Amino acid sequence: MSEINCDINTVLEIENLNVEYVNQNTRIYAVNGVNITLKKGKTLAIVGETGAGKTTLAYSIMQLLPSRTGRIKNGKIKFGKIDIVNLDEDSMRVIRGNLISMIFQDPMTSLNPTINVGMQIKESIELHNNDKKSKKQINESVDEILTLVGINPERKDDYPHQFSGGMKQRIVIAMALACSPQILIADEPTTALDVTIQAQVLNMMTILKKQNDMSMIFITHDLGVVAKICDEVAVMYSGEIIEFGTFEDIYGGKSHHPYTDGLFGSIPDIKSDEKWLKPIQGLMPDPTLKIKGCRFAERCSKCMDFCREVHPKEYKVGSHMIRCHLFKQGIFSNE
Amino acid sequence: MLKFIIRRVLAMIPTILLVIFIVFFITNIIPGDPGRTILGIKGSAKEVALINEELGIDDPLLIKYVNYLKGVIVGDFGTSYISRVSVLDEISKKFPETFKLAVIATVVTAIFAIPIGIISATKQHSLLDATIVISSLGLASIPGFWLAIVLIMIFSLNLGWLPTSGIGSIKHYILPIATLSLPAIGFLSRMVRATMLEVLLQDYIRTAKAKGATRRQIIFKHALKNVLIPAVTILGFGFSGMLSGAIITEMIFGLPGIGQIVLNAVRMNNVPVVLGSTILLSVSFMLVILAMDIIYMLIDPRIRKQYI
Amino acid sequence: MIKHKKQKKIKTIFSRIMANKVGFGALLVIVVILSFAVFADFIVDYETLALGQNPTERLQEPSSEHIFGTDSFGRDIFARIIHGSRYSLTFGIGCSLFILIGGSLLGGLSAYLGGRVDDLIMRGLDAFMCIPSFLLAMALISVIGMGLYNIMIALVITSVPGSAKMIRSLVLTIVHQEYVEAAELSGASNFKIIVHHILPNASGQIIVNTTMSIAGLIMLAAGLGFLGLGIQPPMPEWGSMLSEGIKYMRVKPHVMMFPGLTIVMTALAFNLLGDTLADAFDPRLH
Repeated sequence: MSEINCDINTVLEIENLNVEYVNQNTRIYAVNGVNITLKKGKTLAIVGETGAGKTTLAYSIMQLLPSRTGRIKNGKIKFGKIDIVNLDEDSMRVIRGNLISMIFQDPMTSLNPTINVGMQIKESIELHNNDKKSKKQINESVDEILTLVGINPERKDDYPHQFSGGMKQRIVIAMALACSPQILIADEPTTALDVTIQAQVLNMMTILKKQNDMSMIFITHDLGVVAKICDEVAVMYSGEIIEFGTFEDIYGGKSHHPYTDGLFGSIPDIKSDEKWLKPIQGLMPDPTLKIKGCRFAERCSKCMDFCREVHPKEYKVGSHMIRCHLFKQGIFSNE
Repeated sequence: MLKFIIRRVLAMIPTILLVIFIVFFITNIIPGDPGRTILGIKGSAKEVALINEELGIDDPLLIKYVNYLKGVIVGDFGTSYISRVSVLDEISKKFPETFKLAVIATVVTAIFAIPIGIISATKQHSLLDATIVISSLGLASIPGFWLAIVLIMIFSLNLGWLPTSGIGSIKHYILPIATLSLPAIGFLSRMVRATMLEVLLQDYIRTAKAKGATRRQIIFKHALKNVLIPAVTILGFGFSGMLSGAIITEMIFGLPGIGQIVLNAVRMNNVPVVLGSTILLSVSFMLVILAMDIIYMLIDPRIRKQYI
Repeated sequence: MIKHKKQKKIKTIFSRIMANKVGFGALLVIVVILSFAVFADFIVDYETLALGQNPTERLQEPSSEHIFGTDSFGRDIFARIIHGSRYSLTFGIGCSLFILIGGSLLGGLSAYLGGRVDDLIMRGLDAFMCIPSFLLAMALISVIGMGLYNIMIALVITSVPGSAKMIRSLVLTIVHQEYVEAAELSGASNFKIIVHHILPNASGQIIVNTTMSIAGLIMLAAGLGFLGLGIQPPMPEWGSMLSEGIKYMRVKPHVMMFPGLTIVMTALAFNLLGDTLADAFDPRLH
């Protein structure tokens, strides 16, 4: 499989992806026309409120959408040269856990309570044992990877309920890294953990990423976490990427989508004298509606009549992209 | 392990005493007229009164209970009013047959119901699943005694494949076991299906999928154990119903066992036999529950770690 | 407002049953059997058709005159089934209501008092449930005798412990939910918690279990009748009608077939209704 990845810099490229959930009487537009590229060795953060479609995007990459309701309507997810969207289940299984791994939000429930943790890590290796490791070698790999995530290999016969939350998440990470994947998708991996444990786990992930030369997609709603580990940031709103840029573009640049400004206005700053946070008023639009204009229009303080009628395009300046009528291709007016 | 078993056996003792008390209380609510039962219509009023006094019929309930308990401890469950034989002798020889029938029917139930439930759940929303769901509820709605007769009509009288009653070969046991198992299969497979659907929604199944496990591996390696635990519980507690069912089934198919004895005793108001056999069946049920707890420990590490 | 909401909830649950073809069919069967029981006397005459013996018309096959045929005493089987529904439904619905009351009192009390009392009640119930319940019912009937009320007493006494345990664990799960703890912390009275939180959340499962227990009780009562421990002949009880028919199963199978099918159909209808209700009450399927 390794020869597929000939394009040196881009490991994953998503083009105009649309994902819907359909049941008897409703159709939910979860992901609407997303374009993203993930570069080799970089960490891309996807930030946004709950319900913005971040997890759906991740599940689309893994092809883990609920089979009866979720479907990719159109678009491409190019992993190297192959388009994952058209891949059959058997080929997808070769990729899952091997070339692309995912860790989930809640470590408490992500591990099987009736199987000891060593076995669960071993399973990952055995499922993708391409270089025909012997049993002994596999066991050695398990010990190695447990040590790597900071857990004593002697504890591999223990069951998940005997570990704390932070340790469980380390085991989940160990499982995801067992086959040294090229891409790791982390869906809010630290949200369920204490702040101190959060920092430990984040540090560990950053180090492991460098060691394995992985790319990472980091899904979060915590802008503080983003600042710590990410190279690139995509801001997601109502199923769309409304701003995309390097860490410097987003945290340093002067021009932002009004929603991104709102997000940063919602973070307390201990240096500032302001007494109140400025939360964004209102709620995300109903995902069952098809919206003609800008999806953020109803909540936007700079909304013009025009915004409700015409859907904004992606306007780019260098690496920075903003999907808002306030900006123009090539020049961001207020920069 | 051994410590666990000893502790559980010791904990059974007060429950057994309570069980004996409940059964004793219920069968002695009304003092009755055992003298008349023993002697029949022929006995004179004087003789009847004499026997009643000998049996302590007018003693307070609690004293009668203590006396009965004293007997039970040394293995004396009283004497049958009708045959004048020791109750223990009368039932203990035939009891293993009944127990065996109930155990085999339970095993057969598990063998069929668990796979059916799992297949049904993994093929959710298919025609096969719908058929299994409806027919399992249908099976669970058939009273055993009627099922037995219908089976006899079809397989013995019409097709002539299987004997109607009696013993001798394995063939004689096919219909009785089917009678006991079919409704239980209906009930258990529904439960297994529901649990399986629940388990398949768990996060750890999603984790396994993300690892690249096949559907087969997910079901057998990750889901099965978590489905077996509730299935064993249902089978264990269902054993009580299997014992009751075995009694009626034995009667219908003319199998040896305590079925005929218990039913006759109930009809003739032969209290010592009813009392003794109910206690014996209850205790055997408790032993099955104990066995179930031990199986639990083998399946579920969360429980196992507490005791080893 | 609350009343309005409640009506709306009942309405949605009802509409979900109606939307489900199987559930609707089951409800229809139950309504038909119930109306048979209520209007039995208007449909067929009890004395002449259900009880009156007619030696010239023994063991007749189903015909336009006797749609289910006649039994060994020349009585119309259809008429006996119609009148027998009164017994079966009394056992099924009547007993399940008494069991529900007894189970709620005992289980609710045990959960409410907690501590030693709870332990004691649970010990007792556990012991009770070690005794095979059908056997216990038979033992009880053999002592107190047969008859409508005695059979009901036996069925209720043997089923209350299971119901009490179910209700206790249901109450305890709800009490330990965070929203109940939140209500407690905000100073809601016990009464308010019971009325606003425990009852509405427990009612779904209780209704489902009660509906399904009706099916079980109808089968149990028929089982007692079959063994000759239930309603005694010549009264038309489904179980005893069936056992009378066994003698003729080689030549006239219809005599035992129709009462048996009626029992199965009735039990299935209540089970299906319970099943549909379980889906209708499941908030995840909204």
